[in-house]
Amino acid sequence: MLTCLRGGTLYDPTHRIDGEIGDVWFRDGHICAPPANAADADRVIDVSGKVVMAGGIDIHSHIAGGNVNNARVLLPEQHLAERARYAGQPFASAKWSAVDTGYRYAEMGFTTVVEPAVLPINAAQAHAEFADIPIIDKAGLAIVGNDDFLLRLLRDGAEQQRVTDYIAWLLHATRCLGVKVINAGGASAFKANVRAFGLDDEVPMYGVSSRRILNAVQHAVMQMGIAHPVHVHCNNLGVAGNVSTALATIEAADGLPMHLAHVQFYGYGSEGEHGFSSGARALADAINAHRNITVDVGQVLFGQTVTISGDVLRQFDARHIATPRKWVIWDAEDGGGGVVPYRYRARNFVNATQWAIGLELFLLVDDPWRVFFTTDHPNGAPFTAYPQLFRLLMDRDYRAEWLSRINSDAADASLLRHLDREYGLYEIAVMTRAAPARLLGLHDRGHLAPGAVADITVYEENADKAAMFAHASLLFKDGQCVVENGRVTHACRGRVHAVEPDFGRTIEKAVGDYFDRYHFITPSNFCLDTGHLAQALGTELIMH
Amino acid sequence: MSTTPESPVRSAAHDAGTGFGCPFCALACDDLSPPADNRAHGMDCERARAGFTLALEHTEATPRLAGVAATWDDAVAAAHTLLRNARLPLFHGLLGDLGDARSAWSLAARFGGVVDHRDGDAMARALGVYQDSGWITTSLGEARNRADLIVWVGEPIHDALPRLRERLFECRQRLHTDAAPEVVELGARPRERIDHVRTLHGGRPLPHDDPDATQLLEQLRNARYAVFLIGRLADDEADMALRTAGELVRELNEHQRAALLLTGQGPGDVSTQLCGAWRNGFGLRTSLARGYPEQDIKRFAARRLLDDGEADLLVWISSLDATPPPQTRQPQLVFGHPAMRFDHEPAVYLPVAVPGVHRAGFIHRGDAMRLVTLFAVTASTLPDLAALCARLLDDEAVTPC
Ligand SMILES: [Zn+2]
Repeated sequence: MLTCLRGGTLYDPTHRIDGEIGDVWFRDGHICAPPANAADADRVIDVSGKVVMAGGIDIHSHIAGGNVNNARVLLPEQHLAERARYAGQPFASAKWSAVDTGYRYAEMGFTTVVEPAVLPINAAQAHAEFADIPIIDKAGLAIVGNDDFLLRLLRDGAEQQRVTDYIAWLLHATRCLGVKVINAGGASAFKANVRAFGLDDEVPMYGVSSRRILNAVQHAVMQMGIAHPVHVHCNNLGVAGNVSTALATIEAADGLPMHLAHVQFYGYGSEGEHGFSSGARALADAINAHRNITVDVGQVLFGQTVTISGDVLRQFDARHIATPRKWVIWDAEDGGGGVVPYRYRARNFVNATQWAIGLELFLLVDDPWRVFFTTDHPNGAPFTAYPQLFRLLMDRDYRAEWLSRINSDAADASLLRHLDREYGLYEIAVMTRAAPARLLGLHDRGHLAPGAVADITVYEENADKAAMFAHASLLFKDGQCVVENGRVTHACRGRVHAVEPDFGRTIEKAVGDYFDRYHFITPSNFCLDTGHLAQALGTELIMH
Repeated sequence: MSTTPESPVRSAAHDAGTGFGCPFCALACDDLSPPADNRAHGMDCERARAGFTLALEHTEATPRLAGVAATWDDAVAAAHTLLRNARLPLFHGLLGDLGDARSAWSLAARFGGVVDHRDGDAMARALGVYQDSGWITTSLGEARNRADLIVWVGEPIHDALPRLRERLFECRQRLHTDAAPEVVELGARPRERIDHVRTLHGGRPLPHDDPDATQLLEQLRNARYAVFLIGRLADDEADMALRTAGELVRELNEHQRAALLLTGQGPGDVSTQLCGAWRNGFGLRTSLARGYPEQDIKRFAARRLLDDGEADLLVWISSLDATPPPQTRQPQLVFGHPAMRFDHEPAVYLPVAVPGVHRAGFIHRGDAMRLVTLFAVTASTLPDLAALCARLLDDEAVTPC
């Protein structure tokens, strides 16, 4: 079927198209060149006066895997349903379910979402949850850096190539798109009863520092040649004064590609009477000066949420602030995690400062290709609050209105009053479409040129940007219309994206011996088989 | 129109010979010798041997309507009629794998039913404790590698987990030591002992001397990684024992490491609960009758729904266990193990493939940390429950009776 979206206002930063009026043609699942004869169109949809962008891409949102599911079960009161939002659509009325996740992202015009914390032992469950998230495409980042096998390699002074082979093998085993490091070595140290863990602290039993682990993984990712640089959750998350950790990590990247996740949680100084202040200026300056660094923000928005993290050491430390007062900590093979519910309050100095720091970072980092739109769902706020964040970035009057409502000490101390910048639609398209596709190496999306998948969002222009981005006017996924007027009309299955880097086969023997000695599972069962995933879950994997 | 369903499995036996998962207990071992020549003699575990043998001996079966052999089309149509006409179908049993759980939740959503597992009482108890306060847990793998003290809260469950001793307690190849862990058994009524340890740990006096509690506290304080393994508990103190152990573990963690290890209740419990959670947001004992999920771990208990007559159809799903469902006043629709025999034939019996023997699948390990891959190890003509479920969800595909 050949479709023409006629007369839209196009934003396609990959091709420097900034608000030009034009048509977008697609045949079946892919965008195509306009046919010689426009009358060949099977369907013409008039989108004049509307904004057309590629489908949105979220690079960091916790949508699947054991920890997310633990949080759902812990907090039934946070997602009670009282009506059937989508009558007759199985589970679409179940809030915070897999189906709801796909539907809510689609309603906002998003078509690809990355789950950034797949613990390898739990990878099969992440894929099982992916399989039940409709419409959107998914991908996982495999967590490394607390794996005993890796720590042993480093302790024993193995060559970098060996580390690279192991991590490449792990990507095959988990069917993930990239590599995540969470407080490198921290979870392992916590198992040995360590309670604080910085960049230069050593993991007990191995004598290997967090810095050394991070460096080895960063080089492994580069050596493998996969697109997405190492995705880093730094040490000392959430701790006052931790901006120095973020700055040290940026230096430790040594000019090579590195993505720092949810940097808002590392933008903290320790000045002022509260011992807590914004470090956003210093952090943004460092990001601006280091073009090898990309970041996502992890914006805080006020309200009840739950923090879900593989940083078990940090989550344990946060137990005292759990709201409501219940929390979960778990250890598992090569990692761990925790679930701590939390309510961000506008009148609370620290929370209001966190809110301001996130916005300061968005506004102070000058290159929208290197700063990404996230709330670290659900850690800073649930992704369903995105429309509000769009408005905060695009509307300084709205920011000013909020500044008058938050804790006044925090408002007074914040740089926000002096930041007039407003994101425009082109920059939004960079940050949520073009740049994430490039950062993830998903070159078939994030833009509107022939050959791209026909993941296309149409928004109704609206002065209220929250209203505009809350509901896509139309959303096409692989060329199928899935949303009309902000409502899902058709729920297709999404696909899953992964990489298969080459590796030296001798690592399989070493890993096999290691598993035989120490694991509760054999390596052949640990490695997820694409055919088996397809058969057992219906997973359609796309390899990059 | 076919008279037999398409067989989703033609001998897809896993070639490597290792790494095939065993679905018959919560350890979900994947290191057993594979069945050879369709026999399971060489398997080093009595539960695995029994489970594989029974399934290997029953690779085909015929559906029955009230005990009378029927065609697949007629049986599926009869199942559809029962489901369509039910006011509140109860999907129960759930002794199956993740695929079976997904089917159960899909059917419950489509036909407006409730899902509860055979071991729902114990599961709901644990869920209640979890939802009240959360907890600190560890996994089978971490316990195996790190525990230097294992405190068995409740009766040892060797019959349920035959290889636990071998794989957890006697294991000497461990990450940072070659010493086996110390094991302390507290028996089926451990509540008072744990309570006393907590009291002593908090520096408070005991109502009476308890040298065992004093000694256990000493052992705990000396442990680097203490694991409280939850076994079988007496009904009247299970809830409090679990809560108290959970609190003690939290308190110990203020200064040292300790964790609970839950191994689940039986086949399919974890997969039913976790899959239910990501599908409906809550997990078991959730009703989908109103078009959105409502969880109530008391109201939607299977026993109550059956006794009060609130449920008017029992849908029993048990691909892993050939034990028939309990007798009920309600008509029964059974998706069962091919070797299932009944004293009272259900209205509809549809034999299904056994996951991990007749078909591929996934099942959660009891600690919920791993979905273990199951492969087909023999050819079979039995349908996958998912295939039957797909037909039942598609009204057009069912010929009316
Ligand atoms: Zn995150």
